Amino acid sequence: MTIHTRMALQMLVALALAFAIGLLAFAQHWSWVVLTAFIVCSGAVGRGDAIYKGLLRVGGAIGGTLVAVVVSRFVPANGVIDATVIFVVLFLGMWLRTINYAYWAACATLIFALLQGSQGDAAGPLFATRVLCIMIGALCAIAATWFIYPVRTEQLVRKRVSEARAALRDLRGGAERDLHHHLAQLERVAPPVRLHRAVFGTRGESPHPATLIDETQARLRTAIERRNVRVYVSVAVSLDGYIDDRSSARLVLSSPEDLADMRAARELCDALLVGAETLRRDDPSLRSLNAARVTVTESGDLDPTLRFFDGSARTIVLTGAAGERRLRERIGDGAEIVLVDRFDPAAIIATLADCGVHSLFVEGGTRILTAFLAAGTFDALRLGIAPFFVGDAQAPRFVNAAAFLNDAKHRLVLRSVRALGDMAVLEYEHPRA
Amino acid sequence: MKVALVGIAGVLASFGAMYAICAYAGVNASPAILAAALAVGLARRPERLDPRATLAKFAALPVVAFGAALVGLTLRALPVLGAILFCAGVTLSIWLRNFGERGSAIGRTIALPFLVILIVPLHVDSGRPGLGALLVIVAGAIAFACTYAVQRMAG
Repeated sequence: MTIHTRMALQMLVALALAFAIGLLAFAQHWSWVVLTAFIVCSGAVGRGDAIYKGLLRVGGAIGGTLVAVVVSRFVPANGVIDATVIFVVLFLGMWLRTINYAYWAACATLIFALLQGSQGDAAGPLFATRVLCIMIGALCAIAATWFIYPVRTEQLVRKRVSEARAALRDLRGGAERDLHHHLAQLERVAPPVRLHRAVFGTRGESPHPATLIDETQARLRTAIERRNVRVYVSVAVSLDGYIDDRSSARLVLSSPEDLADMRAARELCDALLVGAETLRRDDPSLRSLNAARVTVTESGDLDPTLRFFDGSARTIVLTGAAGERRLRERIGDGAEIVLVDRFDPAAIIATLADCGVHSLFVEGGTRILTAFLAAGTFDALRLGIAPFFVGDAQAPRFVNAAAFLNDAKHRLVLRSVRALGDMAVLEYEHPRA
Repeated sequence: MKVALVGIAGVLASFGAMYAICAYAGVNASPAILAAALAVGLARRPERLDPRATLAKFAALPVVAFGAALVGLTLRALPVLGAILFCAGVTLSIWLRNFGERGSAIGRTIALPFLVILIVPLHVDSGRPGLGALLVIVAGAIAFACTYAVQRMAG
């Protein structure tokens, strides 16, 4: 039986009980019993949740009715004043509902009392009846969730915690996971167990379910924070889409104005990423005042005399188990050698986030650019177009053939077009889902 | 805070528009309170609907509100029958969640008027039942239109 069918049956029983008791015992006020049963049972994800919502409803109703008594005693009966107070209380209820449902319950009860007061039915004399009806309605809902295909709260919490921890494990393997979803799922089951911990304390050797939730949520929040890395891809290409030629000397595509602008953009980032092949071929200086230098190599085949390792900036090399030994032998303490589980952009970003990188400037070469652009793992793309052709089919292209996330149906957003010297510089935004 | 401000603006617009209609028609303000209560429910869960889904909901809510109002009147005249209809309607609204997001959206549309008739019992002028029915339908349409318009304006 699905959870929704189970919840529908629980609601049916709760309402049937509430109607039976309400119509038999509270002829005029049966709706208070039914309304409470409806509210408490609605969306209750477990037995503890029903009890928690029932307590909030009863507490809120008592508070709201007491305020109604005070208001009816001190504020003169007047249609305009009543209407104004009702809308103000309604606004407060809608606002405070995001903090705790009890505030909404209190405000809603106050509004009902004011509505009935304006119809000549004072709040005071009905106080006991109202609270009794609400308690009975809450008990109807709790009974239904307790006995009709019940869901044990502790089991539910452990299931949600287990799912969230599995997502965190998958994440370390480089897989994409919606951590906000798991955070919200845990928050949904948390209030009743937190209340239980506050009232009864923690007993026994195994951690209290509320503690499990708190610990898992802390880990999720940390992981979300770490993954919040902004990725800026920058590349200069010839008119026919090449980023270099096949000569030993590095092909200069950018104009001086474009270079200056690109270097200014670099300074806004925490780290510059260049593929190992580009380092080996071009030996770029990667000059930056602040940014760390990062490269990715599976083989670890990097020459320690490269300008990349000149020690003028923080240097990080991401590699696998195979490349680590070779790098330690060759480079020693010349760079931070960090193991990465996989060589896809998600895993690279997750690992760099662990190194304290919050913004990454990706410069090339073709393999790195293809990987990041194909996966859509970037926030902005800066594309400089040089006014000449390379015309060599064997020369390195901007990107290789791949299944790009941004195809004809999923276009990037063009943010700006600038002329920098003889270069055309286009900036695209890639809104992340 | 913004959600609450947008919500209360939708409620005030719904109530004001329906109150003016009730005053023009010379009936009590019960449909205006109904419209405000429906707007409160709609404001609680702002939805980003495509134009087709918006039209569908605009058409569905008044019909469901009318159905729920009939159940509400039945609850007053024949309580046991009304209770059975009410339980069936609410149970159906939850069971529809089995059919994914679309089923959940339909379920929410059905559940809202049923919740509202518990909060705001309708007082229909016995001499003009047709007018009362029409005003319930108009209240549903106005609540949805005002809430939707205010939410769109607020971005």
